[in-house]
Amino acid sequence: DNQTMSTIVGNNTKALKKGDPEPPLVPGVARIYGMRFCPWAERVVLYAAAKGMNVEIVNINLMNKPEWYYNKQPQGRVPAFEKDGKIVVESAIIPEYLDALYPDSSILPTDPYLRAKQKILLEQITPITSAFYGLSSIIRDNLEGEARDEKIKEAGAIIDGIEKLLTDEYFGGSTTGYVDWMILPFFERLTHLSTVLSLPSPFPCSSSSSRWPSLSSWFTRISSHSPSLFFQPMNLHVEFFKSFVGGNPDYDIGI
Amino acid sequence: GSWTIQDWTRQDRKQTPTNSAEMSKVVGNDTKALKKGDPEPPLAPGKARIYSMRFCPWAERAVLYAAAKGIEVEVVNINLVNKPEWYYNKHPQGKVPAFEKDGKIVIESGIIPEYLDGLYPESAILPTDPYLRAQQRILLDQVAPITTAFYGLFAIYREKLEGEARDAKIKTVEDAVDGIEKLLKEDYFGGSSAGFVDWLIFPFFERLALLSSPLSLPSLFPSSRWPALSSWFGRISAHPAAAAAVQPADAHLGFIKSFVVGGAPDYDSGL
Repeated sequence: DNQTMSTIVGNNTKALKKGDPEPPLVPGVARIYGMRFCPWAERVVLYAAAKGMNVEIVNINLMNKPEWYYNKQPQGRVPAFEKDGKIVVESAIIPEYLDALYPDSSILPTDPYLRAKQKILLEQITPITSAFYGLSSIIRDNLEGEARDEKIKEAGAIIDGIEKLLTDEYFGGSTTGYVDWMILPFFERLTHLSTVLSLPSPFPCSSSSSRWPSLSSWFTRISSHSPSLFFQPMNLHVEFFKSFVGGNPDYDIGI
Repeated sequence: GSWTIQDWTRQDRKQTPTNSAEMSKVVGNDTKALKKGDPEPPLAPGKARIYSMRFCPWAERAVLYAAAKGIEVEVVNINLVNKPEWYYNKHPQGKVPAFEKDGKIVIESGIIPEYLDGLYPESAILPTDPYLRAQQRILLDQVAPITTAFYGLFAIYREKLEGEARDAKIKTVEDAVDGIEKLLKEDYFGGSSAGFVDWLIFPFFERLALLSSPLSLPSLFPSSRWPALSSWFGRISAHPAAAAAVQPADAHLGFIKSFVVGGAPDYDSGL
């Protein structure tokens, strides 16, 4: 981690909705627009924390968006990053922008080849997002029997592939890197799903019979890094997800 | 001026209307596709190589970008249904494009251009300003729908779709292009000159234009429905980098025909 402890404010503030005014943004202050349970927004919060940045978070009610939020992201999605009147969107693009704004705490390599390798590695691991959606759909669609087993099998195969790609302590090498922070939110949610669904291959699993020993120990290792302090507790994630599949997401659950 | 269908189907498109004085530094684009059993051509230190396939839009992105940068590069074409064994050392799934120089290999058509700018900064196309650079990358994501929508046109051709099924595929393309038309605010997506997004999106519009007549769509693209994009297309088609990468229409249509009927595609169409 970066030596400087990050000061991140607003992570547990209520989601702003239609009719709520836009909070003024002071020049020089960095802001992330997020939602407490969104894995894509979380990527950016983790990256900012790993960089030791000071940043404020503004949470957005994604079912009832403030009108002004469409000026930040044209479809009203999170995350977005704003500083000094410049707005950057896309969870995989914002980190690169943060490294350029704050080069002293760069996480992406400056060497073009090593930088390209991190981006290629992220592409190769991107299937984890569909593993997450596949497992979530078991809950959302109340899948049972063969349909359920099929989703679990597909997710398992994806994670098997990613296990092979972890050839060092972290995906960034001997220290945490870009790829680690980009994929962590999905593995964090895999731990919730593992418990809620009683998955046949639990994650993480430290026993000698673990299906994914490298990823399990990677997850335990990275969870002790300070950005992981920004994880929402598992019970809140589970409650949020229930409210989400019920059609009435409670973005402010737990606060 | 705008580029008509007649211009587009000209055989001799390599002779561009504007400056052709610049000899392309991209060599090998019109070589036969290497297949299983063919030896790996040696690559001398300091030499740059793109692994490609003459009709692949994703690989074309890399060739266009290299040509636009004016870098010396050789193209090695790969037979994608009968790949040389050694090619899996370049790309783990044997896909194109891949870029190789001095033992370092970079894959992914969206990542190779940035790498080329890193290796050859004097001809950088992506902006160095972080905000402008981010905007180009974001813009690429926003125009991405055309890269999937255009495959629907192959499906019409291959499956001989008619009626509603055909109309649905065409509508997907039209919706994608409608969205992109709104995003084009200047002469190019890169601003006053061709940039990262222009080169990465051009192969897909090239194919829309190409497929208009085989699909009996006299004016799918270019079209007065999309005035900004149609005139962009004429402008960028005349760029010397397009001449270096684009295959003549008849060779390309020959490939597409072989590709949609199934069996082994004719990767050497026109050679």
